Formats: sequence, C-alpha cells, structure tokens
Amino acid sequence: MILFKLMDNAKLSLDMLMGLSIFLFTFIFIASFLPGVFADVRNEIGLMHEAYRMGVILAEMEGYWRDQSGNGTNWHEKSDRWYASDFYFFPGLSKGKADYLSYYKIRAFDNLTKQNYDFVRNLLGLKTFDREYNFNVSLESLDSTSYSPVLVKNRTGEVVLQAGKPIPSSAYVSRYERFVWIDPYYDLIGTFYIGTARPRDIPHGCSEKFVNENKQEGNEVGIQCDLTYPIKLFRLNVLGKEHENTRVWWLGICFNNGEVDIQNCNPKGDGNQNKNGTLQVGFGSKLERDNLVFEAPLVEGKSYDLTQTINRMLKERGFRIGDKVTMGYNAKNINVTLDLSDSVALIAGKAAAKIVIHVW
Amino acid sequence: MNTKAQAFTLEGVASALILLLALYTLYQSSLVISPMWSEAVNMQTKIKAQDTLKILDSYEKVDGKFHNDSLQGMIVNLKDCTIGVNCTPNTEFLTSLSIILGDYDYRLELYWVNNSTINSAALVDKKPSPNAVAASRYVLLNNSELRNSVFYRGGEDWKPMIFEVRLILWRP
Repeated sequence: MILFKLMDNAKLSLDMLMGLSIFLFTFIFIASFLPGVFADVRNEIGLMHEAYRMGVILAEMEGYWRDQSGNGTNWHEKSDRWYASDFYFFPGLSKGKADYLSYYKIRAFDNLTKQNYDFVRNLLGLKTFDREYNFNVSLESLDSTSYSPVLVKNRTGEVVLQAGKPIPSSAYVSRYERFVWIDPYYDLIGTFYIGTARPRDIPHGCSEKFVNENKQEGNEVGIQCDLTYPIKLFRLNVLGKEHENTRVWWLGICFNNGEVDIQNCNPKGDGNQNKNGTLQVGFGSKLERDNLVFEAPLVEGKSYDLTQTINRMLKERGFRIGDKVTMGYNAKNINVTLDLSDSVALIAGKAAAKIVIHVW
Repeated sequence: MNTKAQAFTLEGVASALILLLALYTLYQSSLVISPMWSEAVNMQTKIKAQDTLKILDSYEKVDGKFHNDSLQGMIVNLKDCTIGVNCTPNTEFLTSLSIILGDYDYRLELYWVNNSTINSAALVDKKPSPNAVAASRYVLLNNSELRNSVFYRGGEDWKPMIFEVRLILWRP
C-alpha cells in the first residue's frame, strides 16, 4: 500500500510565476512598441506616392482647360483666365507624349506657382480637406544631385523652373525624379557669334585676348573663357569665311586646367606652320601635333558637335565633375557660332534634363 | 527536506533580459524596412529606365543618318563584328547613356526576329544585382537603314525589322 506523504511546507511555484511574468511583460512591451516603428515608414510611403503622382501629372499629362468658350490643352496661354471662377484647368507640362515637355508650359507653371502657391497645391491635389502636403519642383541638369543641384537656366541666365516652398532640412521629404526632354530648346542653349566679324557675342565668362584687324587677309581674334566640366553642349556652326576673297581661314580651340593661360591656339601643320582651312582642338596652352584630339577641314555650312570629344579628353586628363576648365580659341577670317550650354545636354538630338520633385 | 523555497527564476530573468536587449539593439542599429519600401525604390529605378529609353528613342535623321547616340543609331552602327560575340554599342551611345544614368549600373540586351526565331544578344554584359529592374523599348527599322550593319539582309530594302532594346538597371 502506497501512502502519499503530505508535505507540510508547500512550495509555491515562484520560479514559474516570476519567469512567466517577466516573459509576458517583455512580450507585451514589444507588441505595443512595434506598430510605432511602422508609423514613420507609412508616412514616408504616403509621401512617395504623392511625389510619384505629381511626377505623372507634370511629366506625362498635357494639362487641360475648360470654360464657356471651349476647351484645350494650351492652359499656359490663358494666364489672364487662371483665377476666373468659371475657368477650370490643371497644369501639365507635356506636349502630348510622356516626358516630352513644352518650354513655354514649364515657364508658365513656374510663374503660376510663384504667383499663388496654395492655388497650385489645390490644382495638384496636394491640399485637401483632411491633409496637406508641400512641394518643390525644379528643372535640373542630368548630373545634378541633392547635395550639388544644378538648375537649368535659359540663355539670359534665368532659372527655368524652381517653384514651391524651400525644402526643409529636418522633416521627411520624398524626392522623385523624371528624365525629360524639352522643346523648343532654343532658349535653353546659348548661341554665340564667336567669329572674326563685329559685333561679336561671346559667352559669359569669356574675354577678348587680342584682335588683329586686317581687311585684306581677314581679321584675327583670340578669346579665353572659363567653363566647368562636364560641358553639356559645345557645338560649332561654321557659316563661312568673313572675307570670301581671302583663302586663309582657320579655327583653333585649346583647353587647359582652370586659371591656366592659353598662349597660342593657332592650328598647326607640319613644321609648326599655321594650318589653313582647318579646325583643330587640343589640350594644352598651345596647339601642337601631339596634343590634338580633333582635326577636320573647315566646311561652310557644317556643324561640329565636339561635346563628347571634349568631355572624353578632359576625363582622360583627370578632370572631375565641377572642375574649372580654361578654354581659348584663335580664329582667323571666319564666321562661326557656338552653341554652348552648361546645364542642358543634347542627347540623340534632344535637350535632356530632369524634373526633380520634393514633397513633404 | 529543504523547506526553503528556491527561486529558480534566474533562467527566466536572464532569458527575458537577453530577448529584450537583442530586440532593442536590433531596432536601434538598423532601419526596419517594410515590404512596401523596396517597391517604392524599385518604382523610381524602373521609371528612370523607361525614361532613359524614351529619350534615346529618336527617328530624327541628320544628313540622312540617325543620331549615333540614339537607339536607332546604336543598332545601325553595330557593324564589323559578330553579334552575340563581340558587338558593342558605339562610343557616343555609351557616353550619352552614362550621362543620363549617372552612377547607376546597367546591362543592355538586344532582341530581334530572324526567320521566325527570336534572337538575343547582350551588348553590355554585366551581371545584375538581385534588385535590378528592366525596361524595354521597341525600335522598327527598314532593311535599307540597316545596310552595313550586322542585321542587313540582302534583297528588299523596304522590309521592316523590329528590335527590342532591354535596359536592366540597378544601383551598384
């Protein structure tokens, strides 16, 4: 017969109770803490959605207007009606194809936002009865970054698009980019007359080094300029000789490190003679046969797009983005224009840039 | 008999503290990335790939030739090489692509139809990362425009040939 011995000193299972309570306490703490982690993430995802939506409206849609007189997509030409109570519109920058933007619509959007920021927020759906977002939109160069922005400017030096509130440094800000191309791009690219006739129209940052006027043999001119690497567009358009009765004409272009003087940029032939009827491009303070990167005969009516040749030459010589470049040229008896841009790149014949949208 | 109760809770206390410490350290040292977050980053990269191909797609001709840095110019300039072996895009195209894409890494593939068979070739053969995204664009060229290229077929110049250019993009 088995007898059960009763224990007088009962032991409470303190071990289990304490361990269990500590575990439960930890579990409840984590369970209540965890949703707070995702709350911030949800906020950012919402901002990204708004920035994406704004990118679609601006980069893919033409915009639309309607009133009693009719409707259309040329809302940018109706600036006198924008604030009329019977005029309904929303701004899109496209010319009918996604990423194909109208320069005039971009300028109109910039003006509209600067005139009335809240009005634009309403149009873009960023200000509703239950929530509000702020935005900043800009047109920037393809190599522009958030810590080193390069805004696209037109030929008069005016920023083409930078609209909205200043971007805060201490809030959740969603950034979204769209690559676009702009038409017409005449206003985005400076076209300068750099030939030997007067008056000359040389780019900003350039100065005349010398001018030799000779009506029989044709004038000669030397110019030096300060540029920044990479150069987005450098295209020469040769119109012809300044004096047709003179057979001598040439154009020599030299590049060097920033703030280094260019001495003599005449195109050189064999025996160090000036080479007639030639366009030469090289690196150094003067042109020599062994530092040439491009050489071609001058042809009336021909364009020479040297952008990639020049950037490749500078890259091989250790130039980095933002480095200063000295450019000098010597021209004799030539009518020539230079298409120059430091913000818009000509890619496949299109003036390409990017729309950068910030929403917070 | 030991009548004094012994608290064997040291294991429980220690394990709970370790659990708490581990979770706290994990939270503090890294961001908690929700599934939606990576989708947002991929969406931006995919849009960039599509926009890049749209910009490079240009049927405009200058002096009767496509721009060398357009998709069309890139295809017609694939010459003096063996497709699928050593054909690479021309320098102007690669330069323009690098200007647009900046520090993104990419792989470029070309697909075309030949005698009812779809052929493919990697023109820029890099290995994509797991988070790479792809975008495609179709280019239509006539046989006459492909003269001198590796795709030219003798015979009717009017015959069209369709290409798919696929750009796979990722952050290195």
